[in-house]
Amino acid sequence: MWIGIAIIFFVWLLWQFVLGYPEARVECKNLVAREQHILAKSAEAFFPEGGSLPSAAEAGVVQYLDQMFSQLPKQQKILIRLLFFLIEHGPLIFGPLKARTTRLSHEARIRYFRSWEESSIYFRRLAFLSLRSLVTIGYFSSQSVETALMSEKKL
Amino acid sequence: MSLSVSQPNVLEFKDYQGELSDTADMIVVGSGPGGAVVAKELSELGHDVILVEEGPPFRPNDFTPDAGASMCRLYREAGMRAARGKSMFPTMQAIALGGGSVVNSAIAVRPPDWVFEKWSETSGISLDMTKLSRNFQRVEDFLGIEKTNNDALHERNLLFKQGCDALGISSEPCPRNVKKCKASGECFSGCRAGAKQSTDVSYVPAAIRHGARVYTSVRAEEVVIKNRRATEIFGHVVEPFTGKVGYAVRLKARKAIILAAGCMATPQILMRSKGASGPSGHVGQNLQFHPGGALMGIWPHEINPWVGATQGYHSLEYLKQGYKLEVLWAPASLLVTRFPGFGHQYKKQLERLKHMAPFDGIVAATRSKGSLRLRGKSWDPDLRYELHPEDQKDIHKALISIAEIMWASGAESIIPGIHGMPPEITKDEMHVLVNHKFEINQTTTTCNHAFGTTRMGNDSTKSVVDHSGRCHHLDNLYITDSGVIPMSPAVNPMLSIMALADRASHLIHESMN
Repeated sequence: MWIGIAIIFFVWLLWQFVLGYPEARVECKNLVAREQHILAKSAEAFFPEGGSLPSAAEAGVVQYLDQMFSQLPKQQKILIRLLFFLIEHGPLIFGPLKARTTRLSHEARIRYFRSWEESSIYFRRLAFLSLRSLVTIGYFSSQSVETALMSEKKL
Repeated sequence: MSLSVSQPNVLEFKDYQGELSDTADMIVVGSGPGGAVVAKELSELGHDVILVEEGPPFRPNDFTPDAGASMCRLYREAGMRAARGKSMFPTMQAIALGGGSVVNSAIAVRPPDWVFEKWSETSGISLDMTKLSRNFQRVEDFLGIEKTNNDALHERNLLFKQGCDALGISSEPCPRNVKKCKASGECFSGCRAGAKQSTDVSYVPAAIRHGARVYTSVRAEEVVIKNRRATEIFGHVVEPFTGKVGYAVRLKARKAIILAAGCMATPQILMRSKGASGPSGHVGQNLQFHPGGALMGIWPHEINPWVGATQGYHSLEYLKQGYKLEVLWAPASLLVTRFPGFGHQYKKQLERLKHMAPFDGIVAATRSKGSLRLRGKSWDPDLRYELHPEDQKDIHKALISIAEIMWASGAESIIPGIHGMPPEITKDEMHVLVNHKFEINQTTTTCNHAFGTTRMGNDSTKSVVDHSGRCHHLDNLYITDSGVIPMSPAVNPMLSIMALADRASHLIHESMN
């Protein structure tokens, strides 16, 4: 019986942490498929399609951060990878949902992120701010975003 | 006056073809405000000088306003360095020829006289403005420091002045080391206009003209001490941006070694050098910052805040109360992360960016203390910082003053970016900010002026260096970076660091003769 439980637990671990991610985007060289997917879904929550400004996908947030990732020191790469892991599996740790972030519906993901933004736990707010900073840096790197927001910018 | 890196006495990473060994009268480590001044002055006084810098040189064309790329290329730990305490305090240190002067907003302001009285009390060294005035004047003249030109101010800076005027608060255009500012607001990512007179385009070329040799991409790692004398430096060539360690470097000093690698790197070099730290136990201790907080105001008319000098106006009204108020600009992507909301709400906030302007306050924080420790073999230190509750109150007071200036200049609302407060407040809701039980971990508090880790003093049991910057227990090892500052200069520290370095240069010269 214990072997059966162990196998079920192992399959559950695989299902939660490893399986089910879409294939890697060919243009990304540094972030693995799982990380790209986490980043894309997070970026979509911050900058969805619609409105006068481009979406995260249109702004090329994932591609930009993939490229930026290659320039980071080793320590910062580790920290960012840990951040992705924490954000992705936060629902398992903090609840109340028991699915990883990328499997949540868009609305549930927004609620989940809002719980991080408004958390009474400083560490969660800090993690949220770190994620949002990364995504926003990627978003603003897009020429189309800069043109839309800062039309007067000239040197 | 620009640095020509094709000169034979300036080596870049690509120029190193094997182990490097050289000898000079003086080895100066670090090319920021502390080191570049010393290198120029000592070479001008006839000494044979080698200037060592871990970072690479940047030309105006190398800079980009893109925040991510700038952080990765120009800042240590890709701009993600932070001191730990009750909150995480981001603190950004440059890695470039010119050090912090390449990425600061070029504010070059003298501290008020009472700061020197406090320094004298703390250090036991007579450091009054009448004695230091000559050093300040020399630096100001050399860099051509002048108050921000009207043409460079633009609406964001003028709103600050308008608010201060309406409240009867003193304010002035910031004195800066800038020539022909293009008002691009890009100081923190490097000046693409080549207007900022950072040390890489001012003091370092002057040192070269007087015969100094400059080795960039070289990290000084250890000072060799023999019989109370610093004799040579061991280090390595380090590849720019990747940090990969290359050829060994050995530089011998006939007369003296001057460490000016910044108050984060100099203590690490001392700690890794046998016999260099001395018995005081104060190397890496007494780490101090100017913690800063900011608010984002929203006005009914278009401001286009990205236009105008990065920090063109400030108020010294509240220095004695412990804080200084300034106009601010930084890469927009970093400023907007405090905007509330998600998705379309977040995007709608961004659409209002052209109506916004951030003002900030920096706090002297004289009661707060931190420390620096080695982190294994890494050159990224472990930083701790505990903000004193009274200094925390000063940050809150500074934020309230900023809000009042914003209201007085016609702001219709403010985004406080403080956890536990509404995402946006109007003037009628000002009491919410005033009465808020402010805690430091409710907002992002940056700590970009760092000093004190090798502080100056008469008492060798409570300080690291003496009045000339010489390490108490050694005959010829000097420190001339922000680490020697005994306590807060109350204002942006660059000019004070340079004036103290100018003073130290002449004291070193005298002691050598």
